[in-house]
Amino acid sequence: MFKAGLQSASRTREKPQKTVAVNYDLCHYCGACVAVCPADALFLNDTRLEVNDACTGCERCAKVCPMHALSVVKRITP
Amino acid sequence: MKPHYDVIVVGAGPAGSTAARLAAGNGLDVLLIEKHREIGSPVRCAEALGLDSLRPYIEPEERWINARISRFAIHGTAGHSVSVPPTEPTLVIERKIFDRELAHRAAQAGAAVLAGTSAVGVLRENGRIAGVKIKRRDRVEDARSTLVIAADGTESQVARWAGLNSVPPLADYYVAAEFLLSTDGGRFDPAECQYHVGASIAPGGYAWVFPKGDRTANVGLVLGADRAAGRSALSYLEQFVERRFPGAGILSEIAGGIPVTGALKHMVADGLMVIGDAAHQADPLHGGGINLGMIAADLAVQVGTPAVRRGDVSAKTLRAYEEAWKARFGRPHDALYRIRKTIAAISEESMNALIKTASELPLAEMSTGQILLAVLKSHPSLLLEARALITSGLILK
Repeated sequence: MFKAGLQSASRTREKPQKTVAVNYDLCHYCGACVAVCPADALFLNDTRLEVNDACTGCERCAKVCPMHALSVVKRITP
Repeated sequence: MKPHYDVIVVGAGPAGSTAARLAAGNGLDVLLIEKHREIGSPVRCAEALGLDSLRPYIEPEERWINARISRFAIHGTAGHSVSVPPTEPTLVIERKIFDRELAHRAAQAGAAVLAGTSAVGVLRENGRIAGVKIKRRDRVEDARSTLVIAADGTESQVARWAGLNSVPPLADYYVAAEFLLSTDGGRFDPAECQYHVGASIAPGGYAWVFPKGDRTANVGLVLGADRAAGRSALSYLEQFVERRFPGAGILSEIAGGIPVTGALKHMVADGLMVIGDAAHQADPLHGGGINLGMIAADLAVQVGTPAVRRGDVSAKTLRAYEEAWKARFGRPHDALYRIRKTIAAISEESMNALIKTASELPLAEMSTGQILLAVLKSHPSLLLEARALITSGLILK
């Protein structure tokens, strides 16, 4: 669930301290979050939503998600 | 896979499949890719569409028609409703069959069609888009073309990767949830589409009941993404369904989102055209976009075909498509956008009062302008906030 945070942790220290976590039990992979992401940090790999390092935790995706499947979480730092 | 295509279309929804069919029909070498493994699924749609604007692209077939609609009923939350005939004959359809048929026709016209194939990036050559990086099963490869048509839907990234600004503001984004409900016979009127308006039902949007017969219906809603007040579209829908259709079976659960900004300012780049939801072409009032996407496909292919043949796919040349779209939909869509903004700002009490007044008028005998004037005469306090409605309504009819 916190894969995005773990991936990004090793890369940078200057990166924003927030990211989003996906609850895959709720996600319908509808793409509404991808549509409103200003950082191009989300990618829909067919039925699986992926979050990349560019995420700033701005919360737009969490606000639009029809299922409330996204939540802003603290980035895990090394 | 060939080493090069004239056109690669990304996304096999109604817009993409229509573009692929028309381009292949013009003799171009076309590849149509769809990221989902099954074209037509998952459905992200309330499935109602107008027949007149559909006919140029596909003759209606019984196997994908669920219901024929003769009335739209607009309900407030205080028990009143207004019933109006549709502006064109309207159908509720089965998108899974419809979409598959459109893709089938693209294949029959000569396009190569590949489901289960995603665009994961764009290829560039001398600054122009020259194809897409595609992922099929576990392999990533380059697919080259003279022209790319992006029909990759609300979550479009192809346009963004090409440098077009396609991120909508939350105030102009509809968030949607829908159930396909199953009830005992007689709960749904198969000739009537219902809209339900009111901030307590769907703030900044509306709920719908679109019948697929008298026992099943698409029941869903859209919210303004900036108006959800911390609740999910799903929770608003569950509340709506529990109150109106308690005990109904849920045959399908659907989620989605629709940009309702009106079409993007820039829908072309060097080597790229963007159509359908990817270009924000859905109706900026109700969010419907099947027909609009198919019309855009037509306009794009009309411009794109000679451009590909001449080998000039510069943004400057392709811009004729943008202009054709604007000439046809620019003003009416601006008006629809303003109407949505006005309605979204009206309180639930005022909306109920407006619907009650309108329900007492002989609507069938009146023009849109007359209706608006009659309603506003009874509610002078709304004159200021509804002024945009009058001017916009007069533009439309």
